[in-house]
Amino acid sequence: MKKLLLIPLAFIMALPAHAAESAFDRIIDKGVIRCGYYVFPPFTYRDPNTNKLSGFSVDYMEKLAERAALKIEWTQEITWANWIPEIQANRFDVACTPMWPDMAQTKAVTFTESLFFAGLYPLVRKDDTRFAKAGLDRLNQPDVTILTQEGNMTDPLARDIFPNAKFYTLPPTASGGEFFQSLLSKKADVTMTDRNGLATYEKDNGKNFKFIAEDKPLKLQDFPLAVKRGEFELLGFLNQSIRGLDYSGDTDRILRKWEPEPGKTYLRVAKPYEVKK
Amino acid sequence: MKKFVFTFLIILTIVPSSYAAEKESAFERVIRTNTLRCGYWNWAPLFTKDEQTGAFSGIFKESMDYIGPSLGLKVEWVKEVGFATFEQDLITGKIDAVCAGVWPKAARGRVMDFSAPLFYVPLHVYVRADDARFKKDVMALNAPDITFAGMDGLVEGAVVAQDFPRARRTTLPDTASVSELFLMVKDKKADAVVADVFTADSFLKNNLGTLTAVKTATPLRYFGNTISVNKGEQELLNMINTALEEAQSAGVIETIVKKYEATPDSLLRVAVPYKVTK
Repeated sequence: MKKLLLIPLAFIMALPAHAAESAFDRIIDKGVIRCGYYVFPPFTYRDPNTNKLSGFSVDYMEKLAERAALKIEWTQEITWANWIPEIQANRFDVACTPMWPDMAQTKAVTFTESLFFAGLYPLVRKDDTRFAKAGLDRLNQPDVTILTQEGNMTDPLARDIFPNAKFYTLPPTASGGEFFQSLLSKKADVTMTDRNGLATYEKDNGKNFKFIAEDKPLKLQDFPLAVKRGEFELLGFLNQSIRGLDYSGDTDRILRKWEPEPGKTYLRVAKPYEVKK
Repeated sequence: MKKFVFTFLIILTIVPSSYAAEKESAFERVIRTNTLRCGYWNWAPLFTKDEQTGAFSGIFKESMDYIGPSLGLKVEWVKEVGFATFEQDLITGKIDAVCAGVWPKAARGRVMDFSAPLFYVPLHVYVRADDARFKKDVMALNAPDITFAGMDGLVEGAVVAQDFPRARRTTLPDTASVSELFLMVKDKKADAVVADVFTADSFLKNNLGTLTAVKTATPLRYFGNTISVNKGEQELLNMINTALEEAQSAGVIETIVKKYEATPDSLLRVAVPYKVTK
């Protein structure tokens, strides 16, 4: 008899397992998007006294959720080092702070369409006149030292574009302040950053630097959200929402509220339609 | 032994039906039957049904006449769907797609996915043709002595609140017809109305020269006109998008849109995905 009882049990166990609940199913079921976020201006600020979050990401995600009759739960503060294992472990559904995607990361996560863009430009000391009219070729000379940081994607980029220049490379632990100080103390002549990087520095330190060749960014940097690899329904929902917020002008309005130079710091997504002249 | 057989049968009965057989996806059904079953609604110029002859026409009808054969599929117009109920028709598989121009909205994105747009429809501000107050600057409408005509539940309410926060808004109940909003402006009960080109053209067809769109560098808002499928039907969507891309690059969509738009170039074309180097 015992053997007979084992037969139906074995039958059940041999049936295919139910697919795990997707992040999108979970969101629709609970009505909540669980966000991972990192603290970085102007995307996310955390009040040290109240722990209240604010910034572009907060306004943007709250608007996105409102449009879909969902709620946002700011579930977990993440870092560059831990966000991928944490999203893979389903501890949150969406990396809600726009971030620079790295192709190697796409083995583990999937990025949405970009919310906006930033140009990376060469930055030099304000009084350095060598590069005023010469253009980018002048940077690719042995008498020019380019400042980079180990592990930062600007390092291989600069080495590709300026193979004849010298390099002064800071360790991965170096702060943003050390970066700018290395330029001011003439350990290097040029570095690469975006308008937000410079504006954040200038807020406390004044105008000591200038960009060159601002009409030709060395790299166009996209700023997408991210989900766990394979979450295609969630990805489709987010991409449609990102387009919707762009078309309604919400993205521009929220960016203008938070970017250091309203309308200038970040490049907007091109219109998807053609204007007949 | 009888008890054992009974127990076994009970277990089989309560095993979830999903174990018994994987549900056929809409894509699999389309490929198996060689037929794409489309839902549609009556909304000129996207899709119209002649009530006397039963004949279909419109931008989406003609576009699907190209897309169907290019995919080797027969397009069957199986069901007229409602704005409030079409998602259920997709979920229950009564139709494979709504092929008549769906505006993607976040709330809809919870339950369905959308193809690439065939074109975009802009929203403009319409004022009386003889009202010269706003000719130089549309922002002159953002004043407390300006009244916008509106209707509960329409997208124009959010646009007025965001773009013209100082203006007033007088609303009709959602049981009124949209053309009544235009009449309010025409009859000087309101100064302006925010509307899409389709709705405006439909009113102006019978009220020629009464209202005009205030000229702006870019439209106030714009919506893509897409084909929608049930949430997660990625294979079906990929197939439709591939055919749409071919139709766009072959100039087919442009020819059809031109044929149906009431005012030349009033509908916004999809930007080309490349840049010409000078």
